[in-house]
Amino acid sequence: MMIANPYNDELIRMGVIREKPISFKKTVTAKYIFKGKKYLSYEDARRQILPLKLDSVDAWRKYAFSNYLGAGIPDNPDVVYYGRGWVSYNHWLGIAEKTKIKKIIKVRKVQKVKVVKKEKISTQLNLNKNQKFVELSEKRMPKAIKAIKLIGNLSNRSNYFYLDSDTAKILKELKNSLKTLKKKFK
Amino acid sequence: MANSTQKRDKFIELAKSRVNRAINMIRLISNLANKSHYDYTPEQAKKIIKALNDEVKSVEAKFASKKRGTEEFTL
Repeated sequence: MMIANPYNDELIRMGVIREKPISFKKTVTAKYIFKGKKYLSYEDARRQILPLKLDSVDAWRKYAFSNYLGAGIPDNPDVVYYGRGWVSYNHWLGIAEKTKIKKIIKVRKVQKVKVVKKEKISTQLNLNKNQKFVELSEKRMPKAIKAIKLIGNLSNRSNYFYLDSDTAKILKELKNSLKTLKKKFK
Repeated sequence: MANSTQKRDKFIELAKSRVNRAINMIRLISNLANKSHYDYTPEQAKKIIKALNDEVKSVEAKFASKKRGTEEFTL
């Protein structure tokens, strides 16, 4: 409030008082009141923090407790904004996006390595051993398939009587042995 | 019914021997995965796994279709 005073103009020129006193209410469009203090909304406060480019929570704490952050910005945002848009310190400081990019780069590198390994295997295929493999698998596969087919013949209800629990057991056994086979081939 | 118990005994007897035989055959094939004795491409391994998998699936389908053999002929 300006006090009606004939000497006001003089005082303003001398710098004792300001023409329009800065009121906290006008400069800070405060959204939240927390323990009697007014704060900006989470997004508005974050927008002012992001340009500082603090790269860790420790750096943030050091900065926040030794510097003036600006009107309406809390030095303990995790408490003030809890349940009002608070995500994490990484989000608050803009670190999350950076780490995500790093992870993607790492994944790409791993994929490249895998591809290279596969190529090596295919080029180093031992023809002698592969021939043996083909011969034996051509001998054994028909036998195995026949054996499995014979189990399927047991489903004929005019010749056999069985319960659902019996078939479940049989299928479980077969699938388990297939699982171990898959593991061995990987 | 004596008939059904006979059928059930037969089923259990045959199932035991046939399942054991099939598992043995699958075990023999999985021996081929030993890279110190045999060598194979990923495609060959995939083929073998797929063939066996399909066979087991068809067995499952056979057991699941309960109609087989239960339908009686009527005029």
